Amino acid sequence: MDEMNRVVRDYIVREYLEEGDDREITDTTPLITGGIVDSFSMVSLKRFLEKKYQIRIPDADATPDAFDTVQGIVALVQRFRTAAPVGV
Amino acid sequence: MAFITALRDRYQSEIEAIRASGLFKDERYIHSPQWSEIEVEFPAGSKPKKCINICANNYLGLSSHPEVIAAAHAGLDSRGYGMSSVRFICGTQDIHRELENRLTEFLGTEDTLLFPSCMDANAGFFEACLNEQDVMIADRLVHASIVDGMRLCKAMQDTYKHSDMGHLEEKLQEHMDRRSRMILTDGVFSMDGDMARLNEIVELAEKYDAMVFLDDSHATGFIGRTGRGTHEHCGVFGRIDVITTTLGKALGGASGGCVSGRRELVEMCRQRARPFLFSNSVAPVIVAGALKVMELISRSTERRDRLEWNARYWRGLLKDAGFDIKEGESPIVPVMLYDAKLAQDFARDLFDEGVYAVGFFFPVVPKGQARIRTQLSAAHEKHHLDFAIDAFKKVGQKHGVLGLGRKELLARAGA
Amino acid sequence: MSQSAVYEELASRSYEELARDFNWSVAERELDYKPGDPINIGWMCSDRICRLGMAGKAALHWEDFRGNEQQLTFNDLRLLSNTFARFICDLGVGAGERVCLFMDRIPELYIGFLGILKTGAVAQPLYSAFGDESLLVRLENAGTAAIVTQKKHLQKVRKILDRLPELRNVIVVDADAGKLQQREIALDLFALPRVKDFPVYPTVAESPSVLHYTSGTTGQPKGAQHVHYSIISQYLTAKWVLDLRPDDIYWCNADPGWVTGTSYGIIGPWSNGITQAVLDCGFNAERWYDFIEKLGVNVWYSAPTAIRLLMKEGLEVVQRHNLSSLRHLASVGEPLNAEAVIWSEQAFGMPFHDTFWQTETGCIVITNFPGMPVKPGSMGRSFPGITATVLNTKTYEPITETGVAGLIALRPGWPSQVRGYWKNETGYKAKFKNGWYLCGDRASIDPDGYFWFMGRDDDVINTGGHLVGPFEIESALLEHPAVHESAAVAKPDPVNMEVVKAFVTLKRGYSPSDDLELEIMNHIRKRLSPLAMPQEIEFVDSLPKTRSGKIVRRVLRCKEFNEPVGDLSTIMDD
Repeated sequence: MDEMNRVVRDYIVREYLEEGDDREITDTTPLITGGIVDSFSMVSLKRFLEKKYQIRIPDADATPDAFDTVQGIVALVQRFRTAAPVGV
Repeated sequence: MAFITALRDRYQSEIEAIRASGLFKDERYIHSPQWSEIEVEFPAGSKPKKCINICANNYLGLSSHPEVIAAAHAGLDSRGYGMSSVRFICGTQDIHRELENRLTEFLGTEDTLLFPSCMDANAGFFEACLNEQDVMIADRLVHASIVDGMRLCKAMQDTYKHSDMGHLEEKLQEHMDRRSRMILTDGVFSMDGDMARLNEIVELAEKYDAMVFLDDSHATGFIGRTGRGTHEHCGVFGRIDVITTTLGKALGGASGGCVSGRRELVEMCRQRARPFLFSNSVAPVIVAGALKVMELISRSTERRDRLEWNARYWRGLLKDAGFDIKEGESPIVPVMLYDAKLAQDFARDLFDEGVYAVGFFFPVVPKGQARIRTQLSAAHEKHHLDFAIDAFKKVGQKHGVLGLGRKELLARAGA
Repeated sequence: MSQSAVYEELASRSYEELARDFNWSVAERELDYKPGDPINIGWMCSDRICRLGMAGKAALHWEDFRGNEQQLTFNDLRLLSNTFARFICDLGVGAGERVCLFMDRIPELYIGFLGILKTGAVAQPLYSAFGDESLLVRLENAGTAAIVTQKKHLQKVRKILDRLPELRNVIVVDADAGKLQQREIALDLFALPRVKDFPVYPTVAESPSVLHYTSGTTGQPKGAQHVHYSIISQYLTAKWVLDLRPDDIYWCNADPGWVTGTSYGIIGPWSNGITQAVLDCGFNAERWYDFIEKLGVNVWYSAPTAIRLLMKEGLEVVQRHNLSSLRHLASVGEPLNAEAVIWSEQAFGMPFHDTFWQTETGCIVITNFPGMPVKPGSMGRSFPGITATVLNTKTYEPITETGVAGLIALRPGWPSQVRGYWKNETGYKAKFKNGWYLCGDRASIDPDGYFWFMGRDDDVINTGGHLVGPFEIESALLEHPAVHESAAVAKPDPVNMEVVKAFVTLKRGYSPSDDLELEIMNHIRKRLSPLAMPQEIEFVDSLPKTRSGKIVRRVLRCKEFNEPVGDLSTIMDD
């Protein structure tokens, strides 16, 4: 679980923060409301999670609210990891 | 004694010649701050007499404005009295640069450089920026200081008939072979109070790839809807390459002038203009006062609006009284008398009536164009102008000039 | 008549009454403007409001996602914009030069916009999520002299600085700007002594004011150049269409990086002396409703994408909030679907009023007025003073029958009409046919004069209300080492109306994979912007081309929309 938090955090820092942007990303940093990830960029983040964890997150569940923190994202991934994998 | 009698005689006879030709200038001592009412000692030795001043360049009435005086006092305290140095050694204070920035903002240019006077700005600019490969094409009525500046510059000199755009265009065509062309004009011409046809000049300049030089000393602060000058009035704000103007008239009236315009031209002056390089800049106390002036004229257009109203009102009064005036929109209102002697007598009689105005005649103005030049100020109250018109009417009646045009006036003078 | 009675009367007047004898001089009179006078948007939105006795009135209520708040009065706005203006003047920024605003929706953005205009310079706002490539092409084209940004976006500027010789100053507005390099300078605006009197540049009606970049089918984005006179229509449309009234709290969702965020997120409300609310916070239904409730927002100008996201969050969250302050709702960006209109009636007790306009029009041109019956799904009718029609696609003559699709066209000459594309006269001329300005959209008009949107007339992709040009995306795709050829087209999307989809052929040695798809997506997101990022990439063996080898996007687009491709013979012949 902690490992997943770290992977998601690292990915966000690497992909969504500019070099020199020294904002710290914690498990509770607001990502969507904080303007780090916008609703368009969510798609690539979702794609990353689906690929990395071999899951499929339905669009209805991929809400800005669910993606607003690392904590929330991990919880979402966990939910679909335990559910039966959807055909890839 | 080296100043031998022969020399003394020579100069004395030259001075006598000046006096004989009616060109001798007497100073009158003013015993009060500059304002719409002043105390004048004239002739010398007499008791100062209170009169309405209608011949100052104090267009905005800021020469003795309490806020300006207070700011100058504060500047004197914080930055001292003198610099004892030219700008580029140790004669530049932060407030010099600040004032330059304020002028840049106000004039809508790229950069500004202060000069000890606008006379110096005009005298130094051309030599610093042009050489024998270029040509200067000046309106024939530009101010004397521009004429001096042209003399000091190696560029070819040419002139065009006053405000004659067709003639200017011919000259531009004629000089297409020069490396660069510069058109030189005043914004408001000080003797007639008329304005340069600046929009047409700018169009010609753009057509013939020429620069425009504008001396806006009789316009900065009050001509144009927000008082930026003739370029604003003519709708070519931001399109003039060089503007020279003065702090010695509307902008507090103390002393100092500037070159304001394209970054590179201003830089050339900073590097090369001799009056800038070899003379102290404007004293700190004046800079501090001028900064307050810039603040006041940026705050509201109230003063220039008042001036505009005064000028319109005064022109109306003169016309209604039957005087022959030069039409125009500026606060310079020449009352035409055409005859030199009449102009002199008229001015003297006005002074007796408590109105201070000056007669102008040849060679300051062309022969047969003598006049009393009146200049309005935002410091004039309505009652000042009402008082002045009564004096004008009285003196006008005395000389029998009311209701007469040029021909009648000249005929009368001849009779 | 009391103030409020005036507005009630205005709202009660029928469309026909308002349109009859309409003249833009209504706005000139209300703004005390006479032809030939100086007119400066920066002054109009701050100094003038103070002079009307509203110096102490709140101009901006700002809040960010962390809950930080700031309140500025119109006097604050006046003084701070003066201070900003003086700062850039002292840096040597001259009238007519372009100054880019590249930052989040922080107060400095709004103040800076007015400050730039006060100096006579041209404001060039750019969306802060733009990547370095998007930024580069727009700054390069505009020959921008200075850019105002935040520390968090500075790196993107630094990356391209070497390629921008004309960019003299990079102004960083953070209180702690950190270590700065050449050409960079810190501006801690709130710490500077406030400038009381600034000689606002006497711009006139046709002086350039704002440069907004917008995308077209071909070539790089075009800089739509507006003038100070645009305020005439922005003021009046804000008052009439958005129904702004003196005591209103107004909230516009748009970012000033886009035209809505300046025309109706700065100029419209502030020239009317209206208090506006800004929430610098990404989408979050709970947070947004909290904001409306807390501030008592009366007028809300939003976008279909946001409305559809709110729909997804359901009615329950609406009901948990007291949104009774809302009086008028409007929407812009792309056509508002009927479901969203109907939902908003359920959720808020009133419909969202659709408004149609674009970067080039500068103001709302086809719209639903307050008091005008809303037909869900229709864009409404032309604003009084705007002559709008639909043209036959071949003859460019107005279509007289109702219900027939044609090109939306406007008769040129309204005050905020774009005056040109920056350094692109050909592109500008191409927007006019037969004396009409072409919007690039297709619609039909019903017997009541209501316009019904059909779609774009070109390959431009409208995603979440933003136009994205395929050419820009394709150019950036080709920068990726694996990409051989590409085509970017629109694909339908339930929330954003359209999103970008890319078709890609790969170079020898590369093969399609999920990893590669994600890598290419992220490449575009960072180079251009999240908006331009393809939400899907389809790897194909070949792309449909004309006989001369030009890629035909239309074939791919039609496939995505399940539309018939139609007769291709002429196209294929090139």
